[in-house]
Amino acid sequence: MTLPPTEPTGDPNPPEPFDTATAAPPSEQPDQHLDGNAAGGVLGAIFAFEMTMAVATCDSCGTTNPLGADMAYMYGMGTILRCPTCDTALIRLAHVQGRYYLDLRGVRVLRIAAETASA
Amino acid sequence: MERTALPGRLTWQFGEVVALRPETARTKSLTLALPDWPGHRAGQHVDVRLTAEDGYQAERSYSIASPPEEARVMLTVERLANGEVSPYLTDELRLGDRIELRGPIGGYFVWEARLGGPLLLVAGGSGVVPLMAMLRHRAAIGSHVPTRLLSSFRTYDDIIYREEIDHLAATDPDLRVAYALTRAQPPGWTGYSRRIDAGLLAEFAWAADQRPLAYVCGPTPFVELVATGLQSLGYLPERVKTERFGPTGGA
Repeated sequence: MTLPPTEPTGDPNPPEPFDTATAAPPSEQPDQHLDGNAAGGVLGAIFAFEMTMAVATCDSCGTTNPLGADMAYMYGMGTILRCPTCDTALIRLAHVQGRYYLDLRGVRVLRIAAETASA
Repeated sequence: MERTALPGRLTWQFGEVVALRPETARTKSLTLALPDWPGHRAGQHVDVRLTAEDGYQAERSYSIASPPEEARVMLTVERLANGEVSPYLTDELRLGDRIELRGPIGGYFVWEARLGGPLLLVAGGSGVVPLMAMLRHRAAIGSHVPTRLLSSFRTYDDIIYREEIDHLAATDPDLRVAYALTRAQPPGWTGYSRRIDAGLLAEFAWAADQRPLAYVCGPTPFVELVATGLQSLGYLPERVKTERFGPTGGA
């Protein structure tokens, strides 16, 4: 999921909403976002906490959600988590040549449960 | 005084393929033995990483199908025609092969008994995989949380885990199951023959005043439609958990 397909999947039939594969690459489907849950792997590689249950307050509109409930846009270049209410980019994350780049300017407060169990 | 254990960052580990089972023509279940597996919760996923000889790497997310009660981890993978990862996992992988993964991932799209219900599970295609982990977990602990599963597939033969789900439903009065077949139906089909929309949800889903807890998993447009439909029925947004997967497949 973190890499775009190298070529469009070749279903000759137009995609229908319930098909599990769709025909066009993400670039032609700007709204093919995932849930923040999908970014749990890369966030978990950086932070020592279960980050999909970490709660972020959007710096733009003040809405507060678990990261798992935000919108995730995942491309080869990296991942963007957006506020589901106002679309502000909360977190931008790229992994380039052994370094993680993390831009958190869209987040006013990030609340992380320090206990493991149920976050 | 003991220190509180931190979960630690996720790292890559290798799992050995100990069982392979075709589920449908396009899906296969892989069971992995993972020596360093810390255990998981129903609904979580893993990231699988393949590395080519030239160092090129591709990662995809796959939901865990097995319940936390089982030590070995089962993934069910749908083969996407031009996928980079799924054709390898479904066609090339052999018993004894090792694959690299990290997990378990996610605490948001998780169900366990203490979260209660009534439970509504809605799946589009291979979106049924993490919901199956929830059903298996529920059965393993003998939970009587009232549960309804509504899943959509193209044809009868595309229904993943059909025999197991039908068996669970036949032996559990607290579990009700319905399938929607969107492309073709076998003769005498008594299930739904249309796509899941707000009207079908109104027929099958719990009424909102029962404060149901809903988990919806499938391709993005499917999840959008179902989540919107449930909210129009009065479901509370914070009690509708969604897991979308994109055109590259995976969880």
